[in-house]
Amino acid sequence: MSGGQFHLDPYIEVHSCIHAADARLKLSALLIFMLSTALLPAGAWAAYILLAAVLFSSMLLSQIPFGLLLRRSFVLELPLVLVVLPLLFKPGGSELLHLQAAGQSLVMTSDGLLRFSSILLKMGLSIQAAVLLSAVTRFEDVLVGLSGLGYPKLLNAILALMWRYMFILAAEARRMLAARTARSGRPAYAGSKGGGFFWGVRVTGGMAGTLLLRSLERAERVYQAMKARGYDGEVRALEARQLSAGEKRKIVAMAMVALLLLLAARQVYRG
Amino acid sequence: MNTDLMMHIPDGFLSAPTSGLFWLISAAIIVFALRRAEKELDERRLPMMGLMAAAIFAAQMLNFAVTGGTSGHLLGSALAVILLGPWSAVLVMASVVVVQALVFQDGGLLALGANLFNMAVVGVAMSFFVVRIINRLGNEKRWAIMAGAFGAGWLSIFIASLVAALQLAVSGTSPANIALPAMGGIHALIGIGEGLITAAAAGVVLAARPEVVRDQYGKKSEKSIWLVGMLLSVLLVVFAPLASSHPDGLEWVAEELGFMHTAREPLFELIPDYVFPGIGNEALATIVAGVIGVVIVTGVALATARRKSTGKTV
Repeated sequence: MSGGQFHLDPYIEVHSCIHAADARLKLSALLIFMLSTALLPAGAWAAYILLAAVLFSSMLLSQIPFGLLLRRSFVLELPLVLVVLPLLFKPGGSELLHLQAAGQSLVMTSDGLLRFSSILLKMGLSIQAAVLLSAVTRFEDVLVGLSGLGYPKLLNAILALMWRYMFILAAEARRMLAARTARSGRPAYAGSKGGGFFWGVRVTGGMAGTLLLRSLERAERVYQAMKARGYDGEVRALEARQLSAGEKRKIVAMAMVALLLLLAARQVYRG
Repeated sequence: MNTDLMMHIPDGFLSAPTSGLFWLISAAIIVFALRRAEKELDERRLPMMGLMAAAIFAAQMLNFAVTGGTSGHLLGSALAVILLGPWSAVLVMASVVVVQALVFQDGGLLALGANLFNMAVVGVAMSFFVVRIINRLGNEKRWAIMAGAFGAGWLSIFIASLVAALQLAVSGTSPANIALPAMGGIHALIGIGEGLITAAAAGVVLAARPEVVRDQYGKKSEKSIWLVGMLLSVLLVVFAPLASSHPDGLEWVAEELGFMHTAREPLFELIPDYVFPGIGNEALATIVAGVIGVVIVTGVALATARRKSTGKTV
């Protein structure tokens, strides 16, 4: 989660051509971008730079502070670097570096380095693109876009309800955490008394149970309110606007460019 | 450091064929769950599912200290099963995972299929499996509900982490002999936290609103989930030690299958060049056969369950 920030919704309201674009256009662009990133060969540096250029220019066009977007993705990426670290020592290729640690010797290889840096770059590009999308698109618009792209109606209705109450319940969870801290001090440092693992788990379990119980009761009130407004079990939503011919052409054009890039990269970096 | 590090796989970590395969599997299962849930959907159910999805998202913010400055938090598949029953739980967990990926970049979009599979399908199936068995044995007494909640919480985390590790290994991101013991070991411990929290939370709900919990146990057995649950656990129990005792075994398989070369070869060469010569190898053929077998068995189980259920309502 976004680490205890008080502002959960990542959407940032500014006026820009990217904010104004239809959510389906942005979702398709994101998908095309991610697919091309994923399908690029390892070590296709020139293609990575091209993709990064496209991404960075969209970030600049969005009028959102560049550093803010970078920081958001950096926080997500940092712990993931640790996970792929072992790849550096994968056997294959020439040996680059010998490390001696605790009686074990590790050999950093060129193949390992190639794979490691390719995965990191691909991950970074994908996360940064997704960070941009959620900063420039309201989730309500994403929902309309999803239903236009054939996402099932019932799931869409669940998502819409979830989105509407998520922030209320998140605030409730935060109040519970504050109450726990106020009543128990900060639990479980190394060496501190009280607040051990089992204590923490029991208290947290009680909190989760209470939160769910309150949500169940809220669901009943929500149902009554929906009923009072004419809900009959059927969810009705406004039809999504048809995409204009121009917008469709843009999607096709993006897909073609991506395809060309992929084919070119495969030719250049083959075997 | 967040302890659910690899339960949400980011983009870039899975190979394209792995991502694609799990997108297909998850989509099929979710569409099936959707049909089942729609069938038993009374009009009160929709607001409840939306609110529960929001509540589980919020409950994941409740963290607890584990040790040495690390903290864990709830995942919630087991709680969802206990409060909503299996099919609705699949949809609710899927909604949670989708929002995490789309809005908070917690897990990638191409990897979303795999993440949905691990948390919304495997997590839910495992939980239901345990809850059912323990409540059968314990005759739905209070202790059985609590023990079932603990077991469901633990097993859902543990097995989901093993599946995630296998996905990473097949993609060549993390060798099986490192990924499986590491992920499995860490999550066997994290699972204890999940299990205890699930049990404590279920206890609170059981005390205040027993009918909500008991409702889920009163329903007739869902054979298909039961079967898939058993199959998956047996498969993993057999497969996981095998994969980790042969260093780089899975990675080697992945290389042979061409997973890792897909990036270097044009897509259209993938099928003629790699599938047939690869089958000549005994180990590879076994695993390919295994995968096909599992897919077929699962399909048959789902189809039978469906035939059976439609037969009953007509």
